[in-house]
Amino acid sequence: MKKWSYALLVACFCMLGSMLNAQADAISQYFNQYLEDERFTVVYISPKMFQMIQRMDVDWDLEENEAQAVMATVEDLRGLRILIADEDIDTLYEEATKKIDTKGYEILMSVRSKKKSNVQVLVKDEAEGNIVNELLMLVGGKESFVLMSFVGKINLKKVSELQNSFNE
Amino acid sequence: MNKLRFIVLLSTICFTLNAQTASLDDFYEKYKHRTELVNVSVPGFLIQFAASVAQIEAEDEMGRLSMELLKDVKKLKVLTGEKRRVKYSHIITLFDDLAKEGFEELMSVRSEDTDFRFLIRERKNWIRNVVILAEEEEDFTLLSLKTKMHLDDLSAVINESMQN
Repeated sequence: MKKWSYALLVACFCMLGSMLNAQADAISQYFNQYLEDERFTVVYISPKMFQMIQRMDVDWDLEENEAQAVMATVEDLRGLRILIADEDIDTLYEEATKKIDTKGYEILMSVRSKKKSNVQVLVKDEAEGNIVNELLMLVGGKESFVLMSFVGKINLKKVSELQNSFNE
Repeated sequence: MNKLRFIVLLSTICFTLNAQTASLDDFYEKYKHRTELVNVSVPGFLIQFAASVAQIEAEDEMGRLSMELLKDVKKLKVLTGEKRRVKYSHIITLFDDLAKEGFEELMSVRSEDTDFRFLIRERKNWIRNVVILAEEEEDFTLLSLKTKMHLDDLSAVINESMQN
């Protein structure tokens, strides 16, 4: 009985581990080696920064409904990571698109222009579809390759409210 | 018995206060006497005096509010010099220990030859400590502030700067 309990405990930990791994953002999951790569400029904005922005009584020069919508969107953000490289742009863009598991991420938008500029916006969402866990943007431009990852609970309803508030 | 309690309490408070920035103190202690590095320590009263004088001279609200915010800085320490003079392992240890002491990273930027880290320690909307590390190709700067700055005061300066 004791052996079974241990086995169950180990299994639970393994499941928990794989669940946590599944929740990792794309940069940690697929592009971890880029964080130490000298070709890249790496910018990281921590969850703490988002929490502080939310708590600060800053007048962002927005209408009240716009400000409310911005804050409602920001409140669930848990971090932002940006990776920028100015060399090997095409190779990096190609590598990035190949690396991302299309089962976990869905393409929300993709743009390819004549001027050799590619943009892909991908999302990782929860089963209900209204909550996005990560918004990932890949840009393979003429001058730089940009990988941007917003992590948190991004509520699409709130995003559409934000969009509406700016359209009013 | 009461005296004993008082001494124990006082010692505990002193120890806790000291322990709060022990890692920074240790780091400065290692390098402050090195002649190759510049070590500047500005006490709070001097900062407050300078801020008060500058506040009188301030021509606009933005300047006045900024100086008001500067008065919340209780101590400023800067250690700067050539990067090769500072052991990388000491920097790693410092940041590991800062995390243990409750410092949180707000943002970081790393590029080919620049490394920038911005950390704070905050409690109930009061910013108590700020640490900024800037490393360039050859230079190293560590700036630390002891503060008693409320988020509302910081918001006021941001609001004013946005209006201008």
